[in-house]
Amino acid sequence: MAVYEATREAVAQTREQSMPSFLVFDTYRFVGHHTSDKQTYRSAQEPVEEFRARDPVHLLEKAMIDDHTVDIPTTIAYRDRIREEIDDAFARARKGPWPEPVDPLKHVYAEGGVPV
Amino acid sequence: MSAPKMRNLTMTAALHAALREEMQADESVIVFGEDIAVYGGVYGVTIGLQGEFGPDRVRDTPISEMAIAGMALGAALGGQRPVVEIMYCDFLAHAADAIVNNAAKWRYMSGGQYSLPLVVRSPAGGGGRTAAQHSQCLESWFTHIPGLKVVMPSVPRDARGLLRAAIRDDNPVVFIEHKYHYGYKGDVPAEGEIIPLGVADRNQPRVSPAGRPPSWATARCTEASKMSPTTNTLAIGVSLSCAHSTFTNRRVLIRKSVTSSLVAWSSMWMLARTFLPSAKSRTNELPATR
Repeated sequence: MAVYEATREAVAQTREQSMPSFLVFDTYRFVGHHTSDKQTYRSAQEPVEEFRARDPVHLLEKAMIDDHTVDIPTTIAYRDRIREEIDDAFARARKGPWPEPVDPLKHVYAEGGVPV
Repeated sequence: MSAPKMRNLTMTAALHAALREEMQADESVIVFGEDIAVYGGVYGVTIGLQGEFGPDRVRDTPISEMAIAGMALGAALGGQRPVVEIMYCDFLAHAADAIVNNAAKWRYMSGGQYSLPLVVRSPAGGGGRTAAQHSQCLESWFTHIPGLKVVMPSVPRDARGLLRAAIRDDNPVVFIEHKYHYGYKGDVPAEGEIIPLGVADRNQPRVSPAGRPPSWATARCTEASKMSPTTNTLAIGVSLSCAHSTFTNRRVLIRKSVTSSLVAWSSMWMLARTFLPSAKSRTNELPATR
């Protein structure tokens, strides 16, 4: 919510004064660049769990539950629906045929255009 | 059928005609770039377009090639047909991310869902003592990028017909103009002509250069014309006019039957795929002038 408030303030200031505004965010990196990233650039002692507890995604959900914007069964239903969608996508991809060797060459160029 | 009525136009006038014709034909064609609107472009190609089509369709931009190319990308995705000018092709380095990693890729990466009908016009070429950052020929960079079409016209007729086709094409097109070729004149059909991209150019070039080609270009073309007389010589872009006069002179000089032909080629991105396999002579030589 702090981000929302700060952004609203910055946008309003820019609109009123026709001047640029800058927002500086201090963020925390939860995971590596990809699954093979051993993250040697940081100590294993970093308090990742402390930061996870401050994850804005979870904080927003908690805030919405606390002020009765959503109830817990609704959030669970959302999670289930999203999980199902992802599982379906994986199942479809695993069952689907492999692409033909020529398929990766499709859509490099568009065929159409304005008629001459 | 009578011969089509022709007009003798400079490259600049031919390019201007193409822009005007396409802007008249299609309201989604918009033109922007540095100093192209009020001033009319450093080579004068866009003179008068803002007056005729208004400031919404013909705009001056800030000095940021990155912004120009990014705006073209967004406009094309939004259903417009932007034609942007990058003042010198050397500055395409600034614009390369939007062109190479975005415009050229989005159709492919979306499985054919998006079209990126944009044209980036840019003058290239050295020999005019404009120093190292205003003298490069960078068409080969873009020719290597799948998803981009790269066009380098040789003569005014091709410049007009190919630019019109480039604007109508649903792909991003990098359209390279030679900066010391703008004043060259040639016959252009008075009636609108659109020359499809990627089709072999004519074997009989229609060249009537208004000025002498620079000596370095003539020297290179002379070298090419000394190759085997049964060899095709490939002339790309501006080198066509230089090569043509050299060939013509050489025929007079050596007074023997010269069977070599001069082949003009403008559709750079199709060079390896369709042109080279068909043009190679039995001696396996293909001198090229560029």
